[in-house]
Parts: sequence; structure tokens; C-alpha cells
Amino acid sequence: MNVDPRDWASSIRAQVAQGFAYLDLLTAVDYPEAQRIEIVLVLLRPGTAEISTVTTSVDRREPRLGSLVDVLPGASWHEREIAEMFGVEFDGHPDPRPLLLAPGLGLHPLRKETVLGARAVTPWPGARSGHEEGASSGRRTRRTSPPPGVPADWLREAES
Amino acid sequence: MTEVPRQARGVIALDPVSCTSCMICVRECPDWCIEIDSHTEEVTEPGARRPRYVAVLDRFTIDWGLCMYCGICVEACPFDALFWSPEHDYASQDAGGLVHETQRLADWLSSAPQR
Repeated sequence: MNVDPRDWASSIRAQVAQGFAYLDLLTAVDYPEAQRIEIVLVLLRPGTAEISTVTTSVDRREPRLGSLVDVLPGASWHEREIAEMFGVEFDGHPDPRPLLLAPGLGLHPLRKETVLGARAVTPWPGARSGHEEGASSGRRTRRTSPPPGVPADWLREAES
Repeated sequence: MTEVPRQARGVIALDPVSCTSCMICVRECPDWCIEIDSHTEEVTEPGARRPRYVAVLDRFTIDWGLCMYCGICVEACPFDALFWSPEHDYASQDAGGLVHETQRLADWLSSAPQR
């Protein structure tokens, strides 16, 4: 079920009233081409384990959404996580402190444009062929392209 | 308390005897949480014209601090050396303690229902 962001909290309240009272999952998906961030909420009905998935989309350039903490107190951590990872602001969140990331990081890691820099500098464990004598046998047959999440031209000169 | 289902993704058990150090799990892992060290040994069988070279597993580690429990390694293993176990009680006070070495991973085998 997809709802208008203005009806987000009221729609969830209605779902909870219908017995979907267990917060199973609250997360977000970034769609840069469509300039939107989708918020995904999965609720369960305890006992029967029926699932209700509710989604809404907010504008990627200025993402904000009403908080669900009044309806589902357990949404607090998930909203704080989405706020950090996707840069979505939750209006009315009682405790919007950063949750996981270092203060002043200045980026939202789960947005698609974020370069997974660690991928480019972490040695890939699969690069070694386990039983070849010496890891650096000079034969660089694999991994000429950068790993997923790293643009092809990113720090190209550092690789040569 | 509800019991943990048998098929729960608690931990991944390794059968070091079945592992051929082929590196497929290491390369398929999206999180890069598996590491394998191995070497080759020459085996000369009686009657054989030439010796064979066999990969011997030295070290197999999974870093549970990185693993996202997707199970791709279990699916990808062509030699049935990796199994899900519902055991989950392996919390650690430090991040290094989440790296399980070969023997620790093999110890989970007895609790793996698929095996």
C-alpha cells in the first residue's frame, strides 16, 4: 500500500488499529532518477503473522516526513537510522540524535551517489588465489575494474 | 521463550574436510567477510605417471562483524562445505572476537541441521 506522505502517520495508525501492531521493518530506498526516497514500513499482525507493507515517497531534494514514534515507539531507532543514512528529516521525532555514524561525517552513506571509498582501499580477500605462492605474483588477471560502489574513474591515478 | 527455529540463520558452520579452498565463497561474498589461506601439496599415487597437486586449507575465517547473513556463500559452495546453524550465542566484547577461525567454524557443524 502506497500512501501520500501527508497521510503517513494517520495511515499507520489505522493499520495498527486493525491489528498490525508489530513493527517488523522500517527502512528507505533511494531512487535518484525519480528524485525521491521511498520509506518502507512492514507491519505484522501478531498471532497470524499477516504482513502489511506501507510505503510513501518523499522529495529527495528536501526529504522530510512526520515521525511515527507517537504511533510506534519502536520506530525511533529506525527513523534515526534513516535520518543518518538517507538524510530524511523526521518531524516530531522526540530524540533526533545521530545514532550510528561519526559526528560531522557530512554524507548519507545509503544514498546512491555515496562513493564506497573503503571498497577501493580495502584489499579484496578474493584477489589472492588461495594457494598461489605469494599473493603478489605479478599476474593481475582479475579485478581490473573497481568494485561496486566505486566510480570507474575514481582515484584512477592511485591504482597504477 | 519461543525456541529458535532449526533453519534459523544463526551462524555458518564450515566442514574443513569438504572445503577445497576454491575461493568461490570468498569472491561471492558481498561483504568480503571470508578469508582463506591455503597451499598446494604434491600427491604421488602409486601407479600414477605424474604427481597430482592438491589444495590444502590452512585457514578459513569469517568475520561476523562484517557478515550480513545473506547466505550467498552457503548457496555458492559447490562442495557442500558451508552450512547454516541456528546457534547464535557468540557475542563478543571486542570486534576481533567476532572473527571465527577454522576450528571455531567447524565446531558449529554438529548443530547444523542440513548437514
